[in-house]
Amino acid sequence: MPMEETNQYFSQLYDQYITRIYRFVYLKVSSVETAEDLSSEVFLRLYKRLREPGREIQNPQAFLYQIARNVVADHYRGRRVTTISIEKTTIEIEDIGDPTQGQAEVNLEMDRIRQALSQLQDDYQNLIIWRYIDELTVPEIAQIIGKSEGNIRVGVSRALEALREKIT
Amino acid sequence: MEHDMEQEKNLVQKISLLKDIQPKSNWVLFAKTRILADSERIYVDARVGHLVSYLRYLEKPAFVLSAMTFLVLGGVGYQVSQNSLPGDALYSLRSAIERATMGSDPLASLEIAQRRLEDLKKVVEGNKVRNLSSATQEFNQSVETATKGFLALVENEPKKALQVSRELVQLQRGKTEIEQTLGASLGEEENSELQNATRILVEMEFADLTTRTLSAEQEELFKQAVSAYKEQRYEQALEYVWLIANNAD
Repeated sequence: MPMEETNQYFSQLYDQYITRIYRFVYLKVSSVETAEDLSSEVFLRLYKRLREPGREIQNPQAFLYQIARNVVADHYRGRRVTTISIEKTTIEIEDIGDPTQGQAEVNLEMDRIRQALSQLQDDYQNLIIWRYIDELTVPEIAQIIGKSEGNIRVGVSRALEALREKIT
Repeated sequence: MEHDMEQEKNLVQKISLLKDIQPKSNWVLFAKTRILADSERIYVDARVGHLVSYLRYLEKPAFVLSAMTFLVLGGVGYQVSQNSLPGDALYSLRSAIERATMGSDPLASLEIAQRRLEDLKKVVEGNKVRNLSSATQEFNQSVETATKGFLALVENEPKKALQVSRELVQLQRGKTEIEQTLGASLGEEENSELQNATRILVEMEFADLTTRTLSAEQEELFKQAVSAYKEQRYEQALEYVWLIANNAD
């Protein structure tokens, strides 16, 4: 693919998926700075792949989430897992938006859900993010992780149940 | 049951709050710009990466030996193949190298046809009967390709076609010489195609010349060209056209 065409296609995919990929990564690493670095890495890998001759990407959405999972896994492999303090988390949530006084309650609730989500096993986290935050369909999720739609439905139901237990 | 569904609905609503997590807009723009600004380097890296992915095998001694053997044999093979003739074992290597290095535009096709003519001359002069059939076949194929390329040139770039037509005429003459030596035709079809290409070019040049003011000397050459054309001596007609062009000043 000529460079100009690749840049155009990349730009289109970037605009379409950057928010979802960033959010997906952020929910895994709980740090704005790290989420930015890792999300950049995801799209850099996408660009490199687009430039490789003869290697077409059939499903860009699935491809991006797969890279994002790998990048996050690499990130955790490369460093010791540290416990994130509540104070630190709260500061980062404040970084995300522009909170007013009335939103403080909502932020607290978000923080609680996020904390609960981060305590789930990785597969369940992914299923919750994809199904209820990114609003992917069951077939779309099945394509990302290469499992049957039935498996996905059961997995989502169990993930939701696990999250409920963490919250209550 | 209803209570469970209500609970699930509430939970999903709470999860939905996380949709508010969004990247900073200035970072989104910055990251994209940075990747695209780096695109040229990434492009080169991707190509070099392909090469490096093969070179990594050189870390292992067994692969080093294989690679060196391959390079030495490849070098020797290349040298030997350059002297090979159609019908020889290494001729296909020479042919592949020519195709890869010379391209496939009309001029390159003509150049390849001339090389095949030289090969054919060597075969005939050296009385290499074993190579004759392959050399003739290769020559005819190259003439066919060159003629097609030339016809495209006549249609799209007539001026360039007139410049390269000398090469085409040389090709025809060389072919005729070999046919006389062999006492047989190398291929009627190819001969006809070459003739046809020359005829079309002559007709186009004639059409152009009729729109110009010619000197007395040029007028005379033009008459001779027309006469040669009527006798279907298209090469001769083309030579008169060149002479007219050379007398333009």
